[in-house]
Amino acid sequence: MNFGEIFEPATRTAWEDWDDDLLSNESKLVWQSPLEVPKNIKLLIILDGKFTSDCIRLQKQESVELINSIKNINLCLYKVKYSDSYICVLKDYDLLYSSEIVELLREILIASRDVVSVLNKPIMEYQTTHTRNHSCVIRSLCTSIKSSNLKGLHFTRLEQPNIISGVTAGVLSLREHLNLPATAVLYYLEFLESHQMKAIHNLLENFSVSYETNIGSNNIVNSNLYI
Amino acid sequence: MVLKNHWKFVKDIDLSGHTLIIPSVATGNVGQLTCDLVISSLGMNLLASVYTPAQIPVFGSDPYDLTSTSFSSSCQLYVSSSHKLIVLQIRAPLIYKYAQEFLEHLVNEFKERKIRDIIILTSSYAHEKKHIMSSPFRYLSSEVTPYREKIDYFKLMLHESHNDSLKIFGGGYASMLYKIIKEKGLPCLVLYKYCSEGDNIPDSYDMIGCLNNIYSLFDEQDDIYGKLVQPASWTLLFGRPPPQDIY
Repeated sequence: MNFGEIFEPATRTAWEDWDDDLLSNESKLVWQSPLEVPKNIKLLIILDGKFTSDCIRLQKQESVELINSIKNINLCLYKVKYSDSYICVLKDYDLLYSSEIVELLREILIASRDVVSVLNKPIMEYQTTHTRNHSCVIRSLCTSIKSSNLKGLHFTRLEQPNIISGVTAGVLSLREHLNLPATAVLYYLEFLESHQMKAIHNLLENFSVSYETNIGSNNIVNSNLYI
Repeated sequence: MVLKNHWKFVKDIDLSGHTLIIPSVATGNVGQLTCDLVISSLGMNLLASVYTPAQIPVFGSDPYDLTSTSFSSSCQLYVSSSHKLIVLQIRAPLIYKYAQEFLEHLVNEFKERKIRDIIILTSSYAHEKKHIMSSPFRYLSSEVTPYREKIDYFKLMLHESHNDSLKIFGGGYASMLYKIIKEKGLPCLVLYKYCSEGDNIPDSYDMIGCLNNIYSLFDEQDDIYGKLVQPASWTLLFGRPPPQDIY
């Protein structure tokens, strides 16, 4: 939500109109090429959200290799070279496709020993009774079986009434039901600053992934002017 | 896509003879709010959770107990053995193209577990109410229902069908689920309230009062509204307080 944007409350029935007989349509989401999933993956990192995927540019890196993608939802799957780890980057998908995306990732989710998903949301969506303004809040959620691979990603648990939805929620939910570990790191951000993403960068560095940050100081965004 | 649903039971309980309450994701979310109130007020225990690709996934901390380390997800089953009651709380919309298959799966699962009957709670657009001086509640039931006497005693009004097709406008998947349950031969009651979008907490209080007339959740002598406990997940339902920095 942007400053000044009018948010009209509506229930979730608005997402699909159940009063009309909708045509049943088959899923249009397919991998660009057949997905070959190795039997054993050490770690799957999911970067879910526009800011997260924009600020970390993996495409031209020597340490990762693009192995597959789903074009209409901007999903890219990378393999970390010289490691049994994978990185999945997603942005700008329709929430109604979330469970289908999780199903497309199912094989790789089952084959992964551990899954860490990094999700970013606007700070205005973080619900708290505190009246002090923060530009960044980091929280985490994990399955009953804890991840062993966190390497510094220890944050306060996301408290009620906050809840997450979308692919990250689906990944945690599926792994929970399969008795497998998974962790979500949730970044509630006002705007991106490099120090706020330090934990993500550390995580990627731990897996020998070099990255380019796309963060420059933006005087217009940081100013008090209406734009 | 073939639906691969996963059930994860916390404990094994014999559900024969239990009544199942399911909300429909509908206008004002009245059914879901009512189920939240029932679960929270009766102190119901988590029995199982369901993962299905037919729902938009959600995940979070326990919505009823802030000290708990358990989680909440799109579809979870709660039980109160003393009330012979189970509630399947639905926290996210179903995806239309997979709804029929998933709902059939749910009904089959509960039929196998020999539950007694199913109550669907939902709502309909207030502008669809034709008789404005009448009660805002309507019902719809299978021919065999354990609640016939109470329905007659409390003079609940029957849903009006204008043609052969069953439609509850704004009621989400309630009519689809009702048809499936009828086909499977289980007794079913649909209870719905006409309402508008907005603060629908009062609607859920009304609905729990109406539900209590039909299915006894609280003693008749009790002031039921004094016994209702709002869950932790209802805090900040209309947003956070304004940040101090703006003053």
